[in-house]
Formats: sequence, structure tokens, C-alpha cells
Amino acid sequence: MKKKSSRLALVAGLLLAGAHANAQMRSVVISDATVVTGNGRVYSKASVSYQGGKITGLGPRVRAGFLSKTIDGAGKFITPGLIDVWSGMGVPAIVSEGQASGQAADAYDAFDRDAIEAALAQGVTTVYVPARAIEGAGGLGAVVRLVPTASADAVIKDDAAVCFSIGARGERALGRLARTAAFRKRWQDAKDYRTAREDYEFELEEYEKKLKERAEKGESSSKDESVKKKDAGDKKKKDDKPKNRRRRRRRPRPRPRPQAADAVMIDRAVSTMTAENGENGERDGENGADENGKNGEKKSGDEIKKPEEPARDPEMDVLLRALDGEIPVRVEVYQPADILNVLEVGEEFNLRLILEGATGAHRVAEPIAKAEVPVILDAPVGTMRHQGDPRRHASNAALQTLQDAGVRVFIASGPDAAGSTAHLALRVAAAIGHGLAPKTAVQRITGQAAELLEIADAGQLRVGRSADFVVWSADPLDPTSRVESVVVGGEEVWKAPKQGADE
Amino acid sequence: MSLMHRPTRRLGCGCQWRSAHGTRDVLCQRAPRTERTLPARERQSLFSTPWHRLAACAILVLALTASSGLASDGLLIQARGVLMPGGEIGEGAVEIAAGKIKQVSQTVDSDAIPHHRYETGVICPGLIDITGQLGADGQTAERSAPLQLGISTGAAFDAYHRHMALAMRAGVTAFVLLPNDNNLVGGAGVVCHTGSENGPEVISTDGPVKLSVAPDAFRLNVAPTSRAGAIDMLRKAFEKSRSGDSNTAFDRFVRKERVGIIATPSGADVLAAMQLQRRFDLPLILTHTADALDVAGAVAGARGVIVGPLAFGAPRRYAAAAAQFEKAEVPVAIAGGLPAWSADSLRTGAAIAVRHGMSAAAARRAITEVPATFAGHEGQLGVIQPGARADLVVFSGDPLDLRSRVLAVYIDGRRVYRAPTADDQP
Repeated sequence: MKKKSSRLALVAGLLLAGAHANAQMRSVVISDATVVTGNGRVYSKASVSYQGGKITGLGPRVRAGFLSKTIDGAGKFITPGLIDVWSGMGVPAIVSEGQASGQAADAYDAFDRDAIEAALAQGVTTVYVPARAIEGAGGLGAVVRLVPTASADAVIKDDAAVCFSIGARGERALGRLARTAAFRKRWQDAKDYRTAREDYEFELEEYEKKLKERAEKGESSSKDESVKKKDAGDKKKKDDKPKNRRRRRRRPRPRPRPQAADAVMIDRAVSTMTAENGENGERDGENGADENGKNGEKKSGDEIKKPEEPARDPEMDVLLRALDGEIPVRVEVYQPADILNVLEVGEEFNLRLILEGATGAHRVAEPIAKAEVPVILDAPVGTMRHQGDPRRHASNAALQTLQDAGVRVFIASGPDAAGSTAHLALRVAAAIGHGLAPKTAVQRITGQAAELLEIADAGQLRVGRSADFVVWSADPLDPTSRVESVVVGGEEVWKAPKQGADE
Repeated sequence: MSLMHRPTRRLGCGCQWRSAHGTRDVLCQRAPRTERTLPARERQSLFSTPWHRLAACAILVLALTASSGLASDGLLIQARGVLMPGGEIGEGAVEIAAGKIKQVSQTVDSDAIPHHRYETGVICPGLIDITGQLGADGQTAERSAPLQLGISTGAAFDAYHRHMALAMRAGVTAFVLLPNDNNLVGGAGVVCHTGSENGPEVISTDGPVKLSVAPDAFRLNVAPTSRAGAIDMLRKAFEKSRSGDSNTAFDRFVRKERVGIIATPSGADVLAAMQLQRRFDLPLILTHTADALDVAGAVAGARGVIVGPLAFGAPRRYAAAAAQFEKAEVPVAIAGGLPAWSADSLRTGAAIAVRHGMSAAAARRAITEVPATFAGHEGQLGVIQPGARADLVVFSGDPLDLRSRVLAVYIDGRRVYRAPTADDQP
């Protein structure tokens, strides 16, 4: 009795204290549910507890702590928020060519509350939105967290991948030849751009060294001093740039493919022609690094000339990050022949490729598996009518073939039907009907999807991680299942409307 | 009786529809229907003398008795579950005799008759697409006049089209070949099988009459050019039919001898159609999805509503339509829209409708029993009960669950498709 009264006093005291404290701090336990962790583990009759926005316990033996709130989860399923790795949500437009530095994050409409709530109501909490081009480079794709109230925090990542489209929107005469050459040239240009910059930086250093030597000899005038100071200032600014760029200085330019080299030669010929008027024009600096270097050396005999800085190109800077493996390269490509070409270029430039769409991928499953390139398969064609290029090879059997060959296949809504993000779980169920292994299916829209998007704190339920999860009334892949609650950071961001209320 | 009927039907089918196949459709592959269907010339030589004719008939009868042995002698299909008439999945086995369902029984003496056993399967009535265009895609859009009172889509049916087999393998055993939305009155639909012993065929020519007040039915400079004009023309057509003595499909619809399906894409179309329905007391079924949230209460007098097709991209408003009509206690069918939509679209649509509030039982009925009723085949198609045609699909689970696959398809008691992975015995 005495014990009980003291406990009561403690409760009262805590409640008083709690009036000021964050309501979240109280531990919550959802018990007796089926917990799908997102990394392949499924616990039946298990509990999830969370406190202060973090998951504190997970599994069959979680104890409800003192003062914790217990919710009966009998029959319910708890999963991580679903991740749509290729969605059209909020970014309906397709840009014209050559905008690698454009960002889907800038285009994303965080105020499209209807679409966001529709997706949350089906358990989808995170989407990747591409920056698609008609052909060629589109821009940087973004990873977005779906929150019902528009906020700047919605964008988790504004540089999730560089987006390319190769022959994704119809066919032109000799299109494949041109687009493959253009795709390869992009990367070759990026490399050349880097070489030009590196040459410049090297020469700048040489130049500064010479200035310094001269100054030490006492020959320098006060005017030169001031120039030097200014240059040093410039130089310092450049040092702020990522280190890896400098590390690669003076590396011999690899030219493994004769065609590629030819393309560059032609390009250079064109650029020298156009740059004939101004000997050391910007174009010259950009494309003809060697000539530029020679000129610099020649003139540095008597008179020290400051090397000219090649023009900055934000697009190339983006491509360089992809060349360095910092960000993946996503290519929306459908036809088998195009896929092979993309794989080849990817290998040549050591790109981290992800294929999107890829309705013809099952025809070239072996090379894709060998290159270990993940494939985000387009939604099945929504008609029985004959499909022309590029989706001519689409087949329900594709999934099985790719899987058997060992390709990592992801299921996403695909950006062509913006509303379909909401039905991601049903899409995965249909994919299982067409051969996707049930064991990996849920992982492909949770844990493995987060890995693909390189977002650390999502896709998995784990002790210590942010309390982000979805409570379902039944197995999420079952059509009768309903989302009851979506919790992000320990707070309920979406809740099912009461029975009888209109949607 | 059935034996006498079979050869006639087969021969009739082979010739009648071949003439309709005059289109140069690249999609169409003239697949041989069965090995036993002979070209017309050979058939003629076979029947040239009375003796030959007699011998041929005898051989034919023998061959048919042998080949349709299972169908006539009875067959038992056993699985984990059976979709019952109410839409719930129960236990049992289905016994078939002479192409019809003989009984659904709990306990069966499986050794008495031949049986097919599917360990994990669920036996479901064949799915029915109430708005199908299979084998006649684009061939039912007559544009010469807005009122096509006497037209029948049977003439557009192409039994050789490859879409038939694709649909059948997805579990669709029957469809109503309906005229398009682009005429105020499009004529009568026919009810077809996607496959059978003799290939796809028309099973009844007295399908629903198609009407439309969709924008597709409006013309640029000929009446009707607007909804007001369309309703007015329809009203006059109804009045004319009432006062006249013609006997087209349309007249039979006005006399309530068969149902009419009216395309009403917008909520305002629904209200206008319901006004007509009340004034003329018509057996009307509406196709409507978009504004169900607003007009579901206004369709109480209709025979039913057709929702969809629905694909994964369906907005919430569309996806919730079926549940809304169910709540308003109107019979709901979910359309497949084949072949413009995918072969799986009936089940996809049903699954999406369930996700957005429709009950599972109603959704299962919405792709089987309800469209059969709308097509005028109540108790004959789309339902597993004694006396119904034995059009059955064995799924690997609940047909609503998109993880389920088709294991086998039976049409008129004959197994016309068996999935390569089906885990059945014999």
C-alpha cells in the first residue's frame, strides 16, 4: 500500500514535470504486431517501442516500460515508410536537352498536398524524383520526404543522381548512333574539362613559383607584388574546392577507345576553327588544354605571363562528380541495344550506373548482371495494344528473366503516371504475381531502396534509428490492408480518417 | 443434344466470322484454331457423297465423344478455396458435367470421376469484362450517324485476334463486346468467350444496348453538338420508339426487354442520364468513375454502375468511386477496358477499389457476378453454382490479391489453359 502511494506521488510529480517537457518523451510501445524491419527480417507477435523520436526497442521481447503508453497492435503490420525510387510526384515536366546542372529539387512542388497525402495514405513516405530530359542530360534528381505541411526540409537530397535519357522518347533516323556518341562525348568532354582545369591550376602554380623566384631575386617591382597578392587570393579561393580534383593533376589522359578519341579530335578541330579569331579564347582553354599549355610555356621565357583560366562550366562540374563516383548516373533507357551501349560507356568511364525504365532489359539480362547495374523496371505496360519503340520489348516475363540472371530489380511507380506513387505496395504485389521473389519484394521498397538512394536514416526499422514507420491493418501487399498511421520522427504525420468519413 | 449442336456451331463459327476479318490489322495473327478445324474446301470434298457424309458424321461423332469425354462424363476440380456466389471464399470442390457446373460440394469422393487438383489454388468464376473490345479494337466506332439503333457488334468480332488468348490467360473468360462511346446510341453488344474448344466465339447476341452522352458522341457541326442536344435527341428517340412498332435492339431496350449501358463520364452526365431514366423508366446501367463522390446518391434508380478501368495511376477520387457506389447500394461492376488496358486490369482495378474502401466480397463480385448480370447472363456466367456454365479460373490465391497467378482456365468445362508452373495433379 505504502509502495503504491509513493508510486502515485511519483506519477503525479512526473506528470507535473511533464507538463513542460516534450510530450514525445513519453515512451510508446506498439505490441503484438507483425514487424517488417525492411532488411529482410519479419517478426510476428513483436513490439516496437520508441521515445524521443528514436526507436528504443524492436522484436518479440520488448518490455513496456513504466509510464509508457501501450498500443495494442494485434493483427497489424509495422513497416518502414515505403520508398518510391522513381516517381513523377510533384515534378511533371521533362526538360529540353543538356541541363545537367538543373535540379529536380527546385522543381518539386512541396505544396501539392493532395498528392502527398494520397501517397502517405498508402504508406509511401519517401520518393526519388528525377530531372528528366527529352534526350541526354536532364539534371540532378532529388530525394524528397513526404510531409503533409510544405516545408524546405522536405528535400533530403538534391543531388541524388545525374539523370540521362537515352532514346527514351521515340526514335529518330540513325538515332541510336547519334545518341550513343553524344552520351560518350559528354563524359569525354567532362574529362577534357577536368584536364584543362588541372593544367591551368598547374600552370598557375608554376607562374606563382616563378613570380616568387623573381621576387626573391629582388627584381620584382611593387606592381608585381600587388599582382602576386591578388593571385594568391585567387589561389586561396581555389583551394576551397574539393581536394580530389587536385589529387588527379597531371594524370595521363586515358584514351582507350579509338572512336572516342576520334570524336574528341573532330570536336577539337571544330573548336580550333571557331577559336581562330581569338588565339587564347575561352573555348581554346576549355577544349585544347595542350595547346594552351604550350603557349604558356613558350611565352614564359622572358616575360612571365599569367595563364588564362578556362571558363567555369557548372554542368561539367556536375558530370565530374559523377565521374569521380560521388553520385550515381541514372539513365532512362528502354531498348536493349541502347542499354548495351550505355553499359559500354559506363564501363569506359567507370560510372555508377542505374538503369531506369529498361523494358527491354530482359533481352540483355546477362550483361546487366555482369556489370552489376541495378535496374528500376518501368511499370508494366498498361495496354494490350502493340507498343512501338521504345517500349516495344515490354513484357510481364521481364521481371522473372532479370531476377534469374541475378540482376537487382527495383519496382517503382515510374514518372509517367504521377498518381501511381500511392499504389506502390499494390505494384509490388503485382510484381510478385509476375515473378519477383516475395522475400526480397518488400526490401526493394524499403531497406534496399534506401541503399539505392543512399539515404541513411530510412527504409529500416532499427534500434537507435529515427522512429519512422507505417502501421497497417494487415499485410501491406494485401489489397484489404489499410494504412492506419504514418509516424515520422516519433510523431504521427498522417492518420486514417475515421470510419464513415469521406476521403 | 449437345453433340448434335457442336459441329454446327463449329462450322458456323468458322465461316461466319472469317468474313468479318477483312481488316488488315498487323496485330492480328491468324492462329489456327484447332487442328481439327478443316479448310472449307476439304470439308466440301468430305461431304460430297451421301456415303462419305454418313461416314464422316460417324467419325465426327466418335471423335467428339472421345475428345469431350471429360466434359460430358464429369470432372471434379479441387482446390484450397472456392469463390462462393456472395463473393466470399469458402471451401469445396467443383463438379462439372456437360460443360456446366453440376455441384459445389464440401466432401467429395474424388476417385469416382476424373479430377484436377490444385493444392494452393482458389477456384473463381471466369472474369468478365463488361466493356471489352477484344478482337474488335476500333471496329465498333461507327461514325455515320449518331443513332445506330439496329447495329450489332457481332459483325466486328474477330475470333482470330491474339488478344483473346492473352486475356484468357489472365483469367478473363468472357466479355461484352460493346460499341464505343462515340454515338448517342451505338447499337447492341454481343457476349463472347475468349476461348473454347473451338476458339473464341460469340455466345449470345442479345447483349446490352450502348448509349453515350460522352463528349466523344458530340459532333463538330452536326447534331448533337452538346449535352443538351444529345439529351434532346435521345428523348425524341425514346418517344419515337414508344410510338412506333419497329423491333431493333434499341426498341427492345426501351421496352425494358434488355438493359442499356450509358457512358456518362462527368457528374453532370450522370444527372442528365438519371433524369431520362426516371422519365422513361429505363433499365439503365451507367459507366461513371470521376465524380462518384458527388453523384453516388443520385443513381439509386439505375440498374447498376460500371466503374473504371482503374490502373495504378488512378487518382484517389477515381479509386474511391466503387466504394462510394457500394455505399449507395447500387450494384457495381469494375470494367477491364480490354484491350486498350492491360490484360490484368480487371484484377488491378478491383484491388485498387478495395484499397480505397470497397469490400472484398463486392470487389470479387464486381469482376464476375455483377458484369454477368449486366450482360443478361445472371446465374449463367460469373458465378459458381449448379447450372451455370463451367467457366472457371484457378488462381494461386485470392483473385483480388495481385500476388496471385492464374494456374488454369476452364471454359465450358474444358481446360483451355494451364500455367506451366501449375502445381496440380494430372
